Amino acid sequence: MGFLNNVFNTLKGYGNEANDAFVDSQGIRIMEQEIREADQNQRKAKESLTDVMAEQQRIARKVTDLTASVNEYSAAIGKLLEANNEELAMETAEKLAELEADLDSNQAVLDSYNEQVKELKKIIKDSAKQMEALKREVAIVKSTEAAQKASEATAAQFSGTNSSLRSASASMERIKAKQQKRKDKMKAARELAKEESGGDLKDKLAAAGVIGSQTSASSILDRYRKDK
Amino acid sequence: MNKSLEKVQAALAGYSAEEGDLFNVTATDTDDMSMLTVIREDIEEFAILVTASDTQLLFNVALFDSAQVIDGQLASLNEMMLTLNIAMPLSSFALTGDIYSIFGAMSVNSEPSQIQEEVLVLSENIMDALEVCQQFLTKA
Repeated sequence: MGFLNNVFNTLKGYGNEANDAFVDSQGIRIMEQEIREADQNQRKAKESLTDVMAEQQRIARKVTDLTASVNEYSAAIGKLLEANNEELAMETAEKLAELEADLDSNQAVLDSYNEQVKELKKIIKDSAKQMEALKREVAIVKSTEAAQKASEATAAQFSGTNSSLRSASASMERIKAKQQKRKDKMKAARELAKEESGGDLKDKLAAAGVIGSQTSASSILDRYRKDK
Repeated sequence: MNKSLEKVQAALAGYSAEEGDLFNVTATDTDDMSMLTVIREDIEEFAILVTASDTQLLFNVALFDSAQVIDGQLASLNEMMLTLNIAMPLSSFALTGDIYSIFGAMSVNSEPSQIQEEVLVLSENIMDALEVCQQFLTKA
């Protein structure tokens, strides 16, 4: 079974009843137990791997030797037949048959060792991944718990329960309101600044005669008189 | 204190979001566990909890627990989270026990600038994630 499957089975058992604090600490204990088991599995697999690899090398050498002998005897038979030495060729062929049978069975053993080495390496890698995964999970649970405890006093102000998180909806609304208030404040400040600098500009332009100075009742009357 | 967490703490010292909101970092170090609590000033209700394993840094923000999900809406919420996981930059949704969260994971060999980016993006994802989940949550 793949390591994710193992992790999921552990977490599923824990997640189903994670609603109360006791089960929470129970969940951590279960995960920590799983981490220890994965560690033991890994150690065992490493020990087996050392043994299996030693054996694998021994058999591999034997296979190499046998292959060399088989080739040698095969070549010899060819030469003996060419030389019409039937009797010795027959004797050699009998030896070759033995060697080939030996080679076949040793090759089969070597194949199974190769397979076993692959499997053990996968177990070692998977146990490591499983340990890492569960350690991360434990860290998340513990840190969340610690943070909740730290803010329990604040949390109690917002929700009656202290085991659950305070309402996310309410918190979000509060943050949004706060952010909106800040935005409004900044917008107001910007507008104020604009008005002020705009006012300054108007005064300067009037002083320079570019725009008329303050509109007065008499200037309006002057406009009407001109139109007539 | 764990070396990897010290690195995170150093990377975030004086670091602020675009609008100038600082990230305040508090370290907790006991026999049992080491963690950092990173709080962005304008969203102090949702702390980023940082833990480190041998290979990974984990930045996790608890959003709400399953008790806050409207009855009968869990499956839809879960499906939506899985659907949006790829869309959410640098962070993913998670369920730990009965607590829903968003998190980011990175190698312990990450550079300080990458750590800053991770924390900034995660903090920006908090409100976006809550907004999209809100339809499945009880008010109050």
